[in-house]
Amino acid sequence: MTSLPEIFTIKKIIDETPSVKTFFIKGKIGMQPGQFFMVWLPGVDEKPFTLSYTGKNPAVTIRRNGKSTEAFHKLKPGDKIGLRGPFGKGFTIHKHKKVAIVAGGIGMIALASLAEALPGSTIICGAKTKDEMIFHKRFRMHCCSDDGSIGPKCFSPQLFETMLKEKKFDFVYTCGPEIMIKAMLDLCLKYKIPMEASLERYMKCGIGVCASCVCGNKLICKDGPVFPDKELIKMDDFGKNALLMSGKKAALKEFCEWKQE
Amino acid sequence: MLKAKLGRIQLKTPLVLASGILGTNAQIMKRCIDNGAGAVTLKSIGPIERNGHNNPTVLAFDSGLINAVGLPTPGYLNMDEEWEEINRIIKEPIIASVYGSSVEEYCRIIKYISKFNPSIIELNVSCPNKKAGMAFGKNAELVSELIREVKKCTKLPIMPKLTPNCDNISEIAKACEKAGADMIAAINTAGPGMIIDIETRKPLLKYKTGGISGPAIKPIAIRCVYEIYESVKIPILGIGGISNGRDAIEMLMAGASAVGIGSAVYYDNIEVFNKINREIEEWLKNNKIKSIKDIIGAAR
Repeated sequence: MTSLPEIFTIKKIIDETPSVKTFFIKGKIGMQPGQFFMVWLPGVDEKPFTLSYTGKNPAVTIRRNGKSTEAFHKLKPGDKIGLRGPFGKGFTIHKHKKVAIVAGGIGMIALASLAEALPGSTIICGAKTKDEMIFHKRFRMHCCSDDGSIGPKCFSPQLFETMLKEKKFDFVYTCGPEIMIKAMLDLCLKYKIPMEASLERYMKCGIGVCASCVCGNKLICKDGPVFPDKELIKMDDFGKNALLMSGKKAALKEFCEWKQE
Repeated sequence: MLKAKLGRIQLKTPLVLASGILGTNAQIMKRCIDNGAGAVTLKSIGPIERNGHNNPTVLAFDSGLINAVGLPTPGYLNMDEEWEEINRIIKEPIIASVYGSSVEEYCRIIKYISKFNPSIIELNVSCPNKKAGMAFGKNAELVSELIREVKKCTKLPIMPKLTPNCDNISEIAKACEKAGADMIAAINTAGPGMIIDIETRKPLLKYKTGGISGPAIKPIAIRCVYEIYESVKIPILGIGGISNGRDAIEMLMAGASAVGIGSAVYYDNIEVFNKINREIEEWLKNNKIKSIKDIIGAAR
């Protein structure tokens, strides 16, 4: 049961927003929507990312947020990266249901392969500004923004709740800042719509042994990163705490600030 | 049938979650207990908050794991709430692993955490990924002095965890016993080793080298425990590459009173404890053996 990285050459790089780039790699590599890879930048770092594109032209999409993602952004076509995985439990694919995919910010990256697996689903995506909106040219989506520069001026859970007045959904998938996921969980419980969400924590091993990514008694890398509503409501640290790299438990706000260092 | 004892500590099963695996919070350790662990070890506690090494830190190769996590720790002063949670939800024995770079540091940490009353204090004197504690584990005089001083700071049982990366592990174990150690844990990871990616021509681990664990080191662990059992009277927690019931029985026969489970979590998830317990029980039944204690050291 080896899980060493497989090495890929970068083929093409696209600027998605001022702070987000997509790196297309040569070769084939697959995963279930919601699963992830530990992506190795040789000599620098290794971080968990999902594939934003799958199939013949796989890609990872990375936001510049701290030292190592800055190093990722300096990569050029021809450079090599390693992918270890796929790891974790992905989304349950409900092909014949009316589903909503609700993203907050770069949460849309984790939901992109799901959106491709479920054509015809309703996609709702919120971003700070129009410039920061991801994949709105790739998918037909309902956008909203913090400043009103694209779509209504609100967060994606609010836009989702507004849309519930006219549309019925059988299932909801979500990813974004944890506070937004918490808002989505609360809405889904209120309207009795089953849902799944993809969570994030600082990750080291990716293979379920180091428990750096622990949330309550669940390992994000192994039990998740996708969790259904039934499990989310039982996870004590969900929406509250996360471990820093040292293993020190911190409030989510402190965790998010630390990630940007 | 599966009841075991590590010194005076009663265990409902002989399996102990080994240090460095999973033990980052109370709830995940509780899940190990619920899945059949007889005791759990909290990830090594150090003097001040420390991030450890950058990724990649843990990798699985053909026959084991290699890691250079680098002793991350919240620092012993930042864990009060977690200790309270541990003592609130975990009823089975807790082992607190401790590391430091001086006798004084070990003593300071152990004095402080003794108030939370863990069942055993494990002295990590054998981590290959940070030079600090390692010096103690390879030197009989240094480790003896450390144990003597630590014993003055606490009434709790002291269990040094030894490295296989020395040429006299039974001598070190003997010195530990003489200095007052209550039990011995053996072994920590072997090596250190290295894996080089040939496409990028770079070592995979960010720290370049890392400790080897898992099936690859089991014969080393068995030999070490066998040798230690021959030279000391205090009980041994046998650790190193144990992944199934037969492995655990082999470790008990080498002389371990209880068996550490670490890397096996990678192969069979947290349910691994129940799985190994079932396999041990089945073997004992098939061989008409009533109790774990009847096979401890049987290979000698």
